[in-house]
Amino acid sequence: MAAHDVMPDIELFQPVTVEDASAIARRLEGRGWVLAGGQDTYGWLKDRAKTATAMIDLGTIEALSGIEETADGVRIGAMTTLRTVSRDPLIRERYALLAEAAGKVASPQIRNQGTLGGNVAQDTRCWYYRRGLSCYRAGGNICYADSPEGMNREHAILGASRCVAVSPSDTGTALVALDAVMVIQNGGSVRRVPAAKFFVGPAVNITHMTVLREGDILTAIELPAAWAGAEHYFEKVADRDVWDFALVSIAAAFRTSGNAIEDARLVCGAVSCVPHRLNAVERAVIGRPRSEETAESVAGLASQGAKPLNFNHFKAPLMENLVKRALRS
Amino acid sequence: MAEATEFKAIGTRPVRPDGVDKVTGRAQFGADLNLPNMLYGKVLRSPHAHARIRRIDLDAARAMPGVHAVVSGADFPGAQHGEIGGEGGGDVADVAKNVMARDKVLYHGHPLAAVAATSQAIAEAALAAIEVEYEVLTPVLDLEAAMAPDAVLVNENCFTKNLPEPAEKPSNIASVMTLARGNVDEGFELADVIVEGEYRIPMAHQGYIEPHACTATVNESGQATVWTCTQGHFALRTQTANILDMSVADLKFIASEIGGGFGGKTVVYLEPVAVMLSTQARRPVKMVMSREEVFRASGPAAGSCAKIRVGAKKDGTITAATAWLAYEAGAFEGAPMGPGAMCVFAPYDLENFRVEGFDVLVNKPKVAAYRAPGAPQSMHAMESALDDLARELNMDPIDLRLKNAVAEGSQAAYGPKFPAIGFRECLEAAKAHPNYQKPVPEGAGRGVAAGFWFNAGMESSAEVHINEDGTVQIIEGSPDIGGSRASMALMAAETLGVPYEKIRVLVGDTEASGFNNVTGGSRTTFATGMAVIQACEDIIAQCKDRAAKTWGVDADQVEWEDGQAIPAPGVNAELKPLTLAEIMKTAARTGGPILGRAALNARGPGAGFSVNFGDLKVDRETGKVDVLSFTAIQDAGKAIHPAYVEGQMQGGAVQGLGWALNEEYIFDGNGVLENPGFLDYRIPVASDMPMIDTQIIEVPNPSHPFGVRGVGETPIVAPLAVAANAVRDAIGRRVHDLPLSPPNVLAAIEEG
Ligand SMILES: Cc1cc2nc3c(=O)[nH]c(=O)nc-3n(C[C@H](O)[C@H](O)[C@H](O)COP(=O)(O)OP(=O)(O)OC[C@H]3O[C@@H](n4cnc5c(N)ncnc54)[C@H](O)[C@@H]3O)c2cc1C
Repeated sequence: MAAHDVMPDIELFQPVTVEDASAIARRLEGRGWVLAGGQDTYGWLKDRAKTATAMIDLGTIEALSGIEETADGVRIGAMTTLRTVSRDPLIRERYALLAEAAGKVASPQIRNQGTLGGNVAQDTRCWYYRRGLSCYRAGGNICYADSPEGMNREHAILGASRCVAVSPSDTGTALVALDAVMVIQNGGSVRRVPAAKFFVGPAVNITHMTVLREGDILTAIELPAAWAGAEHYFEKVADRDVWDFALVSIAAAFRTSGNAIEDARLVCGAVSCVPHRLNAVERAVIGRPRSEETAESVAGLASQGAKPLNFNHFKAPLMENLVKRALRS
Repeated sequence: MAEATEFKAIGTRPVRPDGVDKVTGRAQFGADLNLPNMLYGKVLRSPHAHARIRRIDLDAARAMPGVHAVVSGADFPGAQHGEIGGEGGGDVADVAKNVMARDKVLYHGHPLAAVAATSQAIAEAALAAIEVEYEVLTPVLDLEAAMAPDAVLVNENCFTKNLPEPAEKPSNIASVMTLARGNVDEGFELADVIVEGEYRIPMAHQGYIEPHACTATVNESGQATVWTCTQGHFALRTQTANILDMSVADLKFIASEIGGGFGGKTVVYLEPVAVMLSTQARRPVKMVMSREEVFRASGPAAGSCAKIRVGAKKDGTITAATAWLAYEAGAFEGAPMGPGAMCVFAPYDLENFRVEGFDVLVNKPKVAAYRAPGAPQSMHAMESALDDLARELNMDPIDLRLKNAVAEGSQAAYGPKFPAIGFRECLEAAKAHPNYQKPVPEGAGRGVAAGFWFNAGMESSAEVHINEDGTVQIIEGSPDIGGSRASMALMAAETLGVPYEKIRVLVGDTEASGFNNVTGGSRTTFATGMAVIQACEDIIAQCKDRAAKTWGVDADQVEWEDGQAIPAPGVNAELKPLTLAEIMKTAARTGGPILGRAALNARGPGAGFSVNFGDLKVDRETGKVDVLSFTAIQDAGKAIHPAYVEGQMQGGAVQGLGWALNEEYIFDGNGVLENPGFLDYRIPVASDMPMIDTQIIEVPNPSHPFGVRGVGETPIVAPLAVAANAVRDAIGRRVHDLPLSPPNVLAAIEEG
């Protein structure tokens, strides 16, 4: 049992280029840990639930911070703090969905320190996994949360596969809804991954929540012009209003023409291992107005296929209710 | 009494003497002490909720470089049986086993060995090197399972106490209690309306910000000094002496400043272990719990199940009431079932009632006191039932309570006749309060509930020294947890007639102060305050004596007024009054230093009543409950420092609301606590709470010179039912179980 509350001895690298950061990460292999704002990192290390012995601090790489307009939208450096994302005038004007989501993360203190990159790359909060138990996600062969004795009020009702942990990121849902693109650099090569593919479920990879691998540095997140200024809805339901993870959250974006929805994205957080796109709802609302009637008629599609565990039956109606709210204008 | 008296110091709101050091970081808390050569002690804790210890092998840990001591249960003497004292119930022998398991581990986190090493890292490595072989047993995790006739036994030697016939076979029910009056069957027959319900409340933690911490150093003749953050260094010394079979004379306990306790810091966890490690290592040993250890293995408040039935006539008169109350004691007996049972009907004048209480062992941490231990759980049930009753009767909930409220002379359900109390005054103040007159906001519900706590007296001692310049030094031994230094200084200022600023207060260690029982039971301002007042009166008597000597008159020809000795009327009017400073100038000639003292067992603490109400909004689509406004009204007897009384009321309201809305120990089916941190154990943060409005009622306690009643515990009692009743009002359906978290409230709404 963790009797710590203090950091272990650890080496610190402070590269000034992405290439160097990537190279150091590859050289250190498993013992290295990429450090952004540290808000997820320090918990893991203080609890000794992960055993990195060196940190590669991205804080010294200036190119990773900041928000800029591009030919096709806006580009946010991965090291931009959540506070900045939530308050930046450009983001608020064009991608208010993301600004709102970022503003709901944790607490003001954590948003001052935590970064957008760290927020999407953070690991799951499953309390068994975080206790350092050797579960599927940690390379073992059991899921404690989904055992008869498991306490799983905060776990997945959708998309589970052996592991029932959920994606904790509040900004992840918004980024998926906005068709964001994650820019990842490894050594000299850069690849662009759509947000929806950046997050991976246990059926694809049970030990990683994202596509990031050794040497990968998430450098930026691009928001396409296509969703700029779209109608949106964000809500996060948690036990406590601040300093708490979502029980269920929703990020929705709508492009409308006249009264009718032309294109929609509805994404729920904390119900699945990835930000969970409500494809059936999205299809069903095309051509209809945002209204109480639409809300009532499609909400039931939201939790289709849900498999609640012993203690999280509330998540299905909660998803449906949040979908209704998103669809009422 | 109090209304008639004009007070000068009492009732003012000066800054607390310890305030500057606390806000500037100078104050020394439990973990702040470091000594040369100090080692770090760490505890090995059970990974199972219930297991037999087959074998512990400490050799590998002992052999590690940097490790200076390793102990396990076998190193500790068998403890004597006896009450541990303070607010938490229980037996010293049990506390000894709670501190260090012997043959069985009884909860996840139960200590079974400890090490002291030159660094924390080495200490942790040494813990990992200890080999333990367990025979894992089925854990007993809830009241139903524990009380079932064929239940797995937490303790094979536990025989139910207080049964009419001695128990023949062991049971998880450690003891039972019955309180009854009149004939409930007949009472229910007279009722026009009967309401009933079953209510569950999970274990909750006091949530003090400062983790348990202590440092012990033992010298070569076996004398130990222990610095610790505690609500009672005398009580911890006694417990440590009993557990280690030492004389209290060989133990010096020094209380650090304390970062919250709320009842949870009245029993030992680390102290005997630190003394033991230091004895072996011959070096000082510091032990600090991590937050996780605090949650898993200190003493939370008992989880409970309460079944309540109340019958009343159409006019609201309660004709009968019954309560069945089971409390989770955790791994050892001592749940606050007794006080819970005694409180449940305390505010009401009942002819017919019956209360049954059960103290039940489960494989969870041994519970400790938490503000008004036992009362929030039982009174949540009763106050919820009264709310249902008021609805059935179509009566204002305050009127229903007024109809049945106890007053001076009423026979309390728990026995004695009440002297002057302020319950009716609180109810009337609530009814007249502007917040109660306001309409309930859209989407919200309003809840009302009453709270009660006995308050405690118990042992206190105080000395008052007059410094050579006439300033005043108080020495007492009650750790200052809620501003008691300020209260002591104000009462001394009032009694002696000297300004507050000229008074200093020391919370002395066990060698510097006479015996003081724990700062608990809301007793410090009442009882230690009484000792301070008496010690000041002792000073006044001596000062009159000194003035008489100076003036060459008899002592009874001197009076004390406004901090000066003056000649009594009719005595030589030429004599100039003598201030304390002037008396001290000549003190060497008139008899030497001046020191007053008092030691007492304070009687008549004066019951504390409260009435709280609040408007809570429920989001019907998410189950989220928000507190829009909350008003706490409480009888303080006499508020010595009103701001600190209000602080107690506000803090209690917030803790009670936290317990009602979000706080809960979430165990899994193996008895492992899954939320041992402030992220998932959700105490309210500032943005969750509105400003808590307060109104202090002052019905003086006849047993205290200034009319003081304890105020520290009553405030946490009513908010649980206020929240439950407000949610009931808002959603049209009662949610019986706490917490009223979004998942639970949404489930109730979906069901309905
Ligand atoms: C008390 C508490 C409450 C919280 N509540 C919430 C909440 O409500 N909602 C929410 O979404 N989150 C919450 N979090 C999580 C935290 O806010 C996020 O994890 C934070 O945004 C992480 O950002 P960071 O920069 O501090 O990440 P770090 O801790 O530095 O990094 C997190 C992970 O991402 C990796 N990483 C970071 N940046 C990069 C990069 N550029 N390239 C590659 N890998 C990278 C790191 O290696 C690490 O594995 C909470 C955390 C705490 C401690």
